Amino acid sequence: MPSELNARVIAVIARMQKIPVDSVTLDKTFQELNIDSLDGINIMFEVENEFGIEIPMKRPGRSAPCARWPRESRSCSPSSKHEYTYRRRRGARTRACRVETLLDTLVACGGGVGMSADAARTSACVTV
Amino acid sequence: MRRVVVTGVGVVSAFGDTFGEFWTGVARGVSAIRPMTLVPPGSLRFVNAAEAAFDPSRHFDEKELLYLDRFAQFAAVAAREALASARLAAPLGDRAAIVTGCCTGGQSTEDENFQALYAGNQRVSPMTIPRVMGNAGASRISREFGITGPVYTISTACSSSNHAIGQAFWMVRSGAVEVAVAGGSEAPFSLGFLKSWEAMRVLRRTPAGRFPSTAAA
Repeated sequence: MPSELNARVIAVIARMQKIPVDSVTLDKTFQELNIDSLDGINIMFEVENEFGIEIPMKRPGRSAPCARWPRESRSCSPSSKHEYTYRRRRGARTRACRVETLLDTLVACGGGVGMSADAARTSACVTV
Repeated sequence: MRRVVVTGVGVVSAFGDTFGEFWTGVARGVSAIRPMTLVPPGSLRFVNAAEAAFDPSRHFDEKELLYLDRFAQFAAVAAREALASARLAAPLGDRAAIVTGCCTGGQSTEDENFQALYAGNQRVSPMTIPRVMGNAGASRISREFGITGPVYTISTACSSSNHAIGQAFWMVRSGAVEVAVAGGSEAPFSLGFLKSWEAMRVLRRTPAGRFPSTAAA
């Protein structure tokens, strides 16, 4: 995975969370970084800005890698946060989003990692 | 029916960020109306208002401020003071309620984001709705103090806060909850919103050496 991409995504997360850059590593979960549902949406927005792409919420009939992060982040989203709380109360385990999942998504999208415009258009993400 | 008592008070006003400063100003009969700083000078027919000299960095960290419009900041700071003076600590749970009054919501946020949109920026911050919504103050208070009982906001123009206090009174009196945080906040000093008030001809041009009558925010 390109280190420049890692650095840019980590920088976005650190900037939005107001935390030191070196506290963000690929193996950290969103929960460990204190990223809640609103933070997750904000980070996704800033990542889109950073790379000039648009990460779709859902692509019907296609399980593109690009859909992984948004889908996983829904475990922390406003509507499912209540579900998360509910499930946690019942002792169920909740999936934790990881920074590397977001990076996988971006690599699949091709945003900012040297993919041509044509290739990006055919990928799961939309260039903007 | 149970009796209801007020056990704590908090105020953010043009006199300062505490009830003490507010009450001192009122008791002394001094005015807190002064030239506005939140809108560009010369953009309105009036220049003075009861604008709170509020420094958000004294009350919230950088990240928290991403999610809070000025009006919600006021609500949270006033609630902190009220609950501290009532000696109530988080979490207050499901036997506590919050009823806030708010009519206009996050006007500054709305102005900033929509201005950028209409100027050609196709992207609006995803924090626009959480900051603009009228119940953002109540929502913030509930998160901060772990209040999981009834949490909602009443919007009835200039009567919003009074209706909120009345609703909270009845909830405590009837036994629906043990305690309630009630009150209201507004921060309508954005150019678009004040221009709209000006268009209604309910705001008076500032006469030389005199204070006009305006809303506090």
